[in-house]
Amino acid sequence: MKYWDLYLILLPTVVYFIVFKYLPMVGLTMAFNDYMPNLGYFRSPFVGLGFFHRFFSSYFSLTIIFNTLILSALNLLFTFPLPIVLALLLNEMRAKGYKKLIQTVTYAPHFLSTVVVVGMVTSFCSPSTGVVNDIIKFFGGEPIYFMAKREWFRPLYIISEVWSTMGWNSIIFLSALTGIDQQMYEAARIDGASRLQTLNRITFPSILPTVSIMLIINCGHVMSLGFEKVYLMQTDLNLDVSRVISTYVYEQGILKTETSYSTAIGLMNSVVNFILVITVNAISRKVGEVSLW
Amino acid sequence: MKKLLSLALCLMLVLGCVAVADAGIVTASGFPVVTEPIKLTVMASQSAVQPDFSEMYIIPLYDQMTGITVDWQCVSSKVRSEKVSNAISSGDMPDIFFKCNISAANLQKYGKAGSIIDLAPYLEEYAPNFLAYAQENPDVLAAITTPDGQIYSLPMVADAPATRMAKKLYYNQEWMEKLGLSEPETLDDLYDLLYAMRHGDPNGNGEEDEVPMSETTSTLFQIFAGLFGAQNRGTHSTEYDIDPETGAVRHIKTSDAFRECLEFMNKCYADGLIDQECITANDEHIKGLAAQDKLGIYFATNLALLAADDAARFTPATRWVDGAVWTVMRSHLHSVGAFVVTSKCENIEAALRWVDYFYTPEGIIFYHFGVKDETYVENEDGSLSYAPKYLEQITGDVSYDEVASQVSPCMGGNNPSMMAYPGYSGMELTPIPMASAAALLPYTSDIIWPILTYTDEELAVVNKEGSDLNSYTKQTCTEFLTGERELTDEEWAAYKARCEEIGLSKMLETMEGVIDRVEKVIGAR
Repeated sequence: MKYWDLYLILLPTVVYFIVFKYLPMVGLTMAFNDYMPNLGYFRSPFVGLGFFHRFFSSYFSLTIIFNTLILSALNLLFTFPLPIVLALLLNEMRAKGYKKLIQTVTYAPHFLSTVVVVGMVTSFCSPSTGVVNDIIKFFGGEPIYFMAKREWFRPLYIISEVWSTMGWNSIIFLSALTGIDQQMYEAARIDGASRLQTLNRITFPSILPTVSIMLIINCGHVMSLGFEKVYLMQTDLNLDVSRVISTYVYEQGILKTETSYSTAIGLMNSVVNFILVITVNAISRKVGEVSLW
Repeated sequence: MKKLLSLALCLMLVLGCVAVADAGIVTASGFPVVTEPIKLTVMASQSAVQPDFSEMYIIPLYDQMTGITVDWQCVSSKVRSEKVSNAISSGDMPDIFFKCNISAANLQKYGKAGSIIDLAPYLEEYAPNFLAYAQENPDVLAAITTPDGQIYSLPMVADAPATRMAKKLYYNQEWMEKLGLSEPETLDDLYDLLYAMRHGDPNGNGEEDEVPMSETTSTLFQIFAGLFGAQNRGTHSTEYDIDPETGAVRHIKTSDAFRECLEFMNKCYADGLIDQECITANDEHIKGLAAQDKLGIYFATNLALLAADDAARFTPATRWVDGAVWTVMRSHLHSVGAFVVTSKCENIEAALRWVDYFYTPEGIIFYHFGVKDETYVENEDGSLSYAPKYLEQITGDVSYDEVASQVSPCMGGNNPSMMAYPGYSGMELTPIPMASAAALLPYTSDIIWPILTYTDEELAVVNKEGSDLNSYTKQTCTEFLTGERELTDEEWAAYKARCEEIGLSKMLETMEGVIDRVEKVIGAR
């Protein structure tokens, strides 16, 4: 025990993970039995895969799985690269004051709660009083009832998501950018490299490991799409595309206090997420030689 | 000295336990409830404006009256369902859950597990006042009795028609005068009125910005369904009712009557007579319309949401359309799970006698208002209000609810008592909503189904096929309403076929059993 002091420092973290992340997993047994609060996790009647069967035999199960995957994939497609672009642009900026201003302005939406963001979206997009429709009307167009159009649900979701997360998510890439050795840039400049060339040959390869890691981590959330926002943006007319797993769990499990059923669906999500992370990680290790483990 | 004291305390505790174990100490009627003092622990849901319950005026007083000392464990109303479920699962339960609004499904779950007590065998002897009311109004009994005949909770009861009517009807009097129109008597009149409101510029600003009516789509479906004789069993049952011709259980949203209703609604929507933004309408939106004088007909439980100037434009309806049903009517039961006794309670009889008083006329007044001339005064019209020393505390920062909570635990709802005039005084029991309710009462159905209770097998179908069906019909009917999907014969047939695919027949079969049982209890069969 040469490094006992270091292990001691590590101990609280290990305890934290055991107590708050591993022990609660005992509760997963709920997914396989019909949980009764007074009987506890192990003595409640066992139902096996009954809850999974119920989920997959539900009329809308395929629709909600499809909707979840599409929305998640589109979300990843837009909200993942844009912060990188923003970070690169900020990095190229020379005016310090202006750069700080832009950073603050793009971070700010992160601190607004989902309820506020959706409230803003709803009122901005209102056909009678919304600013978006005022602009459309100004240019002679017909107002659009965005919230009631199913084809607008995904764009609205993603645009507002980009708006509220882009600045905040760029922080990690900015910090990766500051870690790049400035001597490389100096050497490149002396060799006569253009700005685009330095970006392409130095900046981008240097942050690629960070990008890969972030991508792997993000793939672990694909099935567990944020519940609040979808639920708040749901209207009777966009149900076709806005029924997702998390809103279904809320309606079926939480509102009807079917703890076991929602645990089963939650467990299924986590398993799929886990498989996705492992797969993406393996690909990344093969292709880019960067991986989480 | 200290030792002696603790010994004495221990002795008292032991003696207390012995006393609690003895059921013979409960008196037959009146006060006190017990011959020897006992103690009950009560977990109560506490809203943000309420102090600890023991600080409320009536609580120590009621302790004295009954001889039962209540040890209050107040939990925030926001986390009450977690607290209840934690208490049940850990076994560390109070004697009573009070105002915790435990849902019917959970009551059945906890009851089956033996954590809470079936009160049915005790009611006749120890809660005669409640039982008498429930037998007179069997819809209350039907809603609290499980299919197997247990009663796990005493509910909050709504007695006055004005409290039972979820929405009342108010017309914009200024507009009607300007347009020279009176209240509609037929469906055509209603359409004409709405049309005139939209196109006659009654608010006089030269723009066609009037919204004749605005509500959430689910409320609109309920109100319009009644115009065509659908949803004839009250507001708790928005999906199923009784087919007047065959007497069988009918799925409202696929019935011919509802198709007519959708056609009419679609016509209204296309002409701009229904708020074009009803898909996202909420109270704030409707309030905004009223504030800008853009609203013609207002559906609400009372006018409290509107600013005084806006409210002044609206008058209560004096009638509804001939032959139509005013559908948004609740049963006498407001909510279940208001008073629940756990298996920890050693003196169920005393607990029931303790709460039963709150279902008597005097008890209702006592529970909500306290003591005459001390905490409340009687007004000339017979209504009650809190004493001036309380009401004068109301300022911009101190709300009515906060002041009322100094007297009684009634704020925040789900009281094991009755919402009955004059003991209960909500905003819906002010003259204007009461006038509207009285006018609409003849149009409500004679038979109002209570909130339904299900057996495990029934619940499985209701939760699966039933909720998929509701989700699909809600979406498609809204599409028919806005014209997104045209209401042709083919589309209607396709819609019905899809419902069938989801499990309509299975659901109807299940509901047939549920309704048969419930209608027998409420005396409709």
